[in-house]
Amino acid sequence: MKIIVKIIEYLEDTQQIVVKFCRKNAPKSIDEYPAGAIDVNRLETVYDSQCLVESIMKIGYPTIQKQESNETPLTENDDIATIEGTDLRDYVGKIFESDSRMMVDRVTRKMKKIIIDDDI
Amino acid sequence: MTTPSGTISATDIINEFGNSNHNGGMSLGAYRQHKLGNGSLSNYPQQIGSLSISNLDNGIPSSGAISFGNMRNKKLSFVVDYHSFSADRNNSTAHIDAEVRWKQGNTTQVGNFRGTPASGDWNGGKRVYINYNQTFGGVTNNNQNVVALRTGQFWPNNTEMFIEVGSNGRIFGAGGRGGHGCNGSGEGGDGQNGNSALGIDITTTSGNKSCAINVRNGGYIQCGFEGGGGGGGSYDDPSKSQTDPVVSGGGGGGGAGRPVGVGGNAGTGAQKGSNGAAGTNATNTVRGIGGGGGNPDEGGSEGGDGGNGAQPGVSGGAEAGDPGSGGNKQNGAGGQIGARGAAIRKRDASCVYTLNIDSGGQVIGDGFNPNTAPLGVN
Repeated sequence: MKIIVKIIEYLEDTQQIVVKFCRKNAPKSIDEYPAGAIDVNRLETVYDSQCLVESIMKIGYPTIQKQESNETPLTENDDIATIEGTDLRDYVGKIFESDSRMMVDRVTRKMKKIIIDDDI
Repeated sequence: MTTPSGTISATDIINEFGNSNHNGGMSLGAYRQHKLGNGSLSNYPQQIGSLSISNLDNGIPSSGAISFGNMRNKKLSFVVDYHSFSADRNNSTAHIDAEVRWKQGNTTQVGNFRGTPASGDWNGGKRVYINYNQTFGGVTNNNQNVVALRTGQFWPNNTEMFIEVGSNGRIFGAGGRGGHGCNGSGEGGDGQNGNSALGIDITTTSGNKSCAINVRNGGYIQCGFEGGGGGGGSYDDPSKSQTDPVVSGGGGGGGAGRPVGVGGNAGTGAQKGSNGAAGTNATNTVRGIGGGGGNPDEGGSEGGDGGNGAQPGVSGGAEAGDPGSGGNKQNGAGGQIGARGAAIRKRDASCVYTLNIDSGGQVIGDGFNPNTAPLGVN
């Protein structure tokens, strides 16, 4: 996921910036998202542009995650089916969901036997 | 009305409007003009703060013929000065009460022929303009009743009050602080309340008193917005690992207002993981952002993110802090949001007011509808 930021205003007297964040492929313009304020002393301004932008992004990332989780799915995409079993003929034409974090953080391991040993 | 409706004398006019002549007598023609600071006369309009006054009182000519008859049933108007300075209650409390400023003589009289009238000079009534035409803020306080400015309670009977928020007038309640990030795997702190901008505490249901608020083009009254909640922490004991991380939550973002709502403190007490980040400070009109929750050295637990503070134009207001997640030992709850102050509030139901907002003026927050304005002014 690529995330973008737009600095709306630099308040020199209070040393703050007003910014807007969203995903690059968000369903609406970044201008339509609510703004937030950041104190300049929270930013990495000593080195280069990349460091500066990343320090802004780091503060905005939780907001972007919330934007995504709060987006309303299309009705057509929200008709999630629940099916028992693995007969693919039952799955055809239906929609299923899974959390993308499951794809990154965890791998399902198939096991035929589990040995529980109290001596470990 | 304060000059007689029947027989009227020069003394009646002088008692009400002041002496228009240098020699202690009265020049009726001079009342068609107003007196400048250097003592000379000038044609109307008289500019006082953001107000442009067109004559001494309604029906008194500003040119042409003038007679004693024109002076019957007239009353003095004066302007309480909130146009020559800017202040926050956070820094000074001397200015917040318009009644106190009147009694201290911080006024300009229409016509400028006399000094500030005392209570004993009320003589049947006065028209009072309170001219807010600078920036005024409140004081950080969790009590929503606390206001940046108030009318004052004990105005004499027959006071006709106009609150004029001019094109440069900006009145803010203070923003609420964001809740603190939790300690360890505990619960996030609650966001604090915003407080209020303008308090109406003049009683208008008795004593023939009234209060009308006019927000002119560019004038702005804004409540203090609430802070976001702090994030909760998490304590995890991943299987087959000696690393049992404790991560804390982020601080909530401050609510918009003046003074601004400051961000909640960063989380503390992380072990084998990181603390959540502090929330950011708001500006007068833009919210602060909640800090991200901490992350563990191992495992899938997460500290809760702090919630964003509230600001104008964003539906739903501030956000509660997220709970810690993924810990199999403990996941702390996120902190709750604060409550919002009001743009305008009344001391009690006897403090009735009307509100007119010109095109380009704004009133943001409760009190927009005078009938449902929240009660309590401090």
